[in-house]
Amino acid sequence: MSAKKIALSIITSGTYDTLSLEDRSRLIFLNSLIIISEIILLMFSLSALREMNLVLFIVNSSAFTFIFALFVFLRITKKITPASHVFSIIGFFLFFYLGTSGGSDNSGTLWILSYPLICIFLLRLKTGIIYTLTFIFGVSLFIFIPFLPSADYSLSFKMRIIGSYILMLGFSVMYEITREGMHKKLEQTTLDLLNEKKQRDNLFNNVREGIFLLDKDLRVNESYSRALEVLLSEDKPGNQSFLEILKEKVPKKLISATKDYLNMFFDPARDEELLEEINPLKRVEYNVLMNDGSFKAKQLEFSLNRITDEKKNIYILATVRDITEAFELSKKLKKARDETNRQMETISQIINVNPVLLDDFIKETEIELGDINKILKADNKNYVNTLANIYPSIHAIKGNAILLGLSNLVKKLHEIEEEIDKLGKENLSFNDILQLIIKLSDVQSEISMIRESIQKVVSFQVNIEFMQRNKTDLFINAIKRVIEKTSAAQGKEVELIKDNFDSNLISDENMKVIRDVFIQLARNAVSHGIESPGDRVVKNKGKKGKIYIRSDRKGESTVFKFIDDGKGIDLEKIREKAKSHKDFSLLDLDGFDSRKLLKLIFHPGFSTADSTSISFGRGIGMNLILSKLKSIGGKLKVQTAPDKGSEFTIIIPNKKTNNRKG
Amino acid sequence: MKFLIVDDSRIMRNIIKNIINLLKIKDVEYREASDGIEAYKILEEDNIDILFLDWNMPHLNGLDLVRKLRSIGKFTNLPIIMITSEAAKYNVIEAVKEGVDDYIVKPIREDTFLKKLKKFIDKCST
Amino acid sequence: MEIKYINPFIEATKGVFFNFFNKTPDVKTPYLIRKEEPHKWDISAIIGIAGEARGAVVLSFSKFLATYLTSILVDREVKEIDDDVVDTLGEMVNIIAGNAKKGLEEYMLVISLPSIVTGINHEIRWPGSRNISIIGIPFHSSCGEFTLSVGLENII
Repeated sequence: MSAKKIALSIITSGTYDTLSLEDRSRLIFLNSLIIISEIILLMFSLSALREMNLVLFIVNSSAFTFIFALFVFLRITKKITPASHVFSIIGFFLFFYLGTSGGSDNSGTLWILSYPLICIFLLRLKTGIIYTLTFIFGVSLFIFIPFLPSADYSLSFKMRIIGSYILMLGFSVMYEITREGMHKKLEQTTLDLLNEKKQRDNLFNNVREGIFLLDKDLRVNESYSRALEVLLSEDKPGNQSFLEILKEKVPKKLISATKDYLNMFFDPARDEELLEEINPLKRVEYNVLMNDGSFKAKQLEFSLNRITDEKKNIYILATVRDITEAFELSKKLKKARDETNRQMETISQIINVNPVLLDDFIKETEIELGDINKILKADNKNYVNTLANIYPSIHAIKGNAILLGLSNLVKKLHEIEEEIDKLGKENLSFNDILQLIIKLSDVQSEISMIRESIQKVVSFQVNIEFMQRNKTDLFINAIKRVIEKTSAAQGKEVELIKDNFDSNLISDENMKVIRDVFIQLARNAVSHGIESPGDRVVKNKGKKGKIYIRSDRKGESTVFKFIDDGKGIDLEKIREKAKSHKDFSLLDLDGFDSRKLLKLIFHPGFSTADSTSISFGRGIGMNLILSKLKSIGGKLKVQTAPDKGSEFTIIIPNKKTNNRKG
Repeated sequence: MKFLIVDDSRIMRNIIKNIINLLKIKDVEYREASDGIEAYKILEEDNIDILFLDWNMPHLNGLDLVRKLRSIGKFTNLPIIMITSEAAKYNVIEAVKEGVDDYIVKPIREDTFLKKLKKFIDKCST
Repeated sequence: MEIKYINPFIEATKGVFFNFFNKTPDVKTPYLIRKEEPHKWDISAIIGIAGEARGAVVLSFSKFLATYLTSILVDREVKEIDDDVVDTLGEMVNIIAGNAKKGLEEYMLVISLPSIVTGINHEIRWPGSRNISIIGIPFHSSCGEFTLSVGLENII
């Protein structure tokens, strides 16, 4: 420990600079007084001892001891105010003795002049004045009142003592008033400055943007808005290299581009407009490495401006904002996609269970997708219509997917259906359609993935030749669904009887057409043929309507039958309807027999349905059924009897090349 | 005023000329080059006021030509406008760093192109 | 495949077409592209895409439209698919790709220079897995139609 430090320790009672300025100056003053008075008192005691002035010696040495004790007290407790009082009281008695007794050569009266100075500085104005006035009052009493013990001063000397004392007191008071005033002013200034700083800090701490300055070395300035720490995920970005902060968080290529870019700001010749245009940090993915080793990505937006101070130093003022929300959303979507991909793996298990069904499913789905595409390519600018037209195909694919338990695919198709339902009612934008087609293309790619998976099953190729093909499930299921849906919608009860039906008799290439025909016949039968349960009861037919489907292979052709036990086709209604149709105006409709009338229902544009409302899932007309059947070389016959029902007979020629099951 | 237009596509050169013509500058003369080497020869022999430069070209590409020009004393102040389909920010920053005075992304939007061009012509004539 | 990757290409195509020919083409109903199905185009420009999404974007033109567009730009009548046609479409698609890049900058994507394929029912090799889903976006302009096909799969 150096001498300077020892002196400092003594004079500040070991507090160094932990106290406030005010207290510290009082403490130093008090300690200095103590040390000075100790030295003086020691000298006085010695001289009193030499002069054998015992009383003076005792007074001085006891004062010395008291003050030493006070020094120790102060050093231990560091209590300035009590110590000041004690010191002033010791001084009071010491100076009182010196003032009244005169000391050696009456010099004691000189000492008392320092009392106001000490008191007022140590005890402040009010207490100090009380002490000093009490002191001079006491001294005056002693020197003026004859029988009290005091030195023998002349009157003028007495007056001079009191006069000088009062003068000294006045100066001390004035000095203290000025000092306190200055002090208050200083305090106010400090307070103002502190408030100002607080406000600035507040501003910096409360803005949501990260605001900071970059200097020529691309270092972040010490003062920055608090939000910056969060935005950059950096505890103390101050004084750090900005590029260093970006490291490992953005691609390397971007860092080097940023470095080049930021350096351009310090060339005053660079056009700021151009700089703003080419800002590489306009939008940046900021990847923060988390404790668990994962990356947390946020999207940050930096805007940068050049600022120049009065010394012509250039800085970059940077503002950062977090624009992550949209990004987070797309990440979530990605995660969901990940999930479905994993589900894909389970499909191979299904394939092992029944590859034949899957094969059928894929063939049918391909046909449906082809149909969908035909509708899309027809480019009807009426998006609602387009959606209405592709809906049945999507629904058919979904129905089959349900049967096979392809839950992932079902989910996707269901989403598409729901979206179509939703979109059908609103104004459709191109993006809505595009989004839907993208989803549909996902379905397409998933189906081709399933196809690929099937081919990977080694046993498949062998099995397919020997396994009894069983398409009944898919075919029957499709018709059942239509019947259930339509009858439920019309409050009817219908039963499908399929005992004599074998869908294996339908060849692959005819499957789609025949299924469409059956579906349409089923829809018509439920809607127009089968009566409501009440009507049926009246007619003694039994509440439940019946639909029979049959199949039979006969030499060169296969015959399918579709029979219902409803009210039959209302021939008179056809006649009435035809009369109002301009295409038939030249015909002698009244002379038409039942055979001729029945033929009319296959005419394009003829529909016996009362309403022409467009609803999703509406069927194709009878004329389309006929033309579809014709396209595969088929024939259609109709028989009907009032209240007995209708019978449709479909005859399809057998192709020799496709006769592998025969 | 003499402009040098460098682009390997004749069509693109014509498009640029047509747009500049909209400004109806008096005494304008065009020189054309289809690659960097050809462009450099013309710059050496003729006094070109503004250089319009494509990025992707055979032999000597646009950016390499800029580097070469900026390293030669008499070309350090030649105004260069880069015309490019490379709209990604890295490319643009690289070009500006190497000394391109401005850049324009294809397809050229007449208004922005003319606005930028005017700035350079004003600078040249003062 | 996500719409956000596709829209920049649609916008760029419209913008570039307008800039070259002063006409904005109409975008029609998108449809599914089925690889087995033959197509009617004579010339295609393929832009490969890699990164967080992988695949390609293809612009396909009929001979009529390709030669017609080139005629406008080179100021002479072009009847067959010659070098000028390949150059013109190459340049156009180059600009489209460059522009689309701007809209895709926020994604981690790498976009290749276009390559041109010609011939009746020419084959387009789609990068990525065999089961990649592809959609076609038809454009109609007063001088003919062309198609923007997009086949992208997400890499996770």
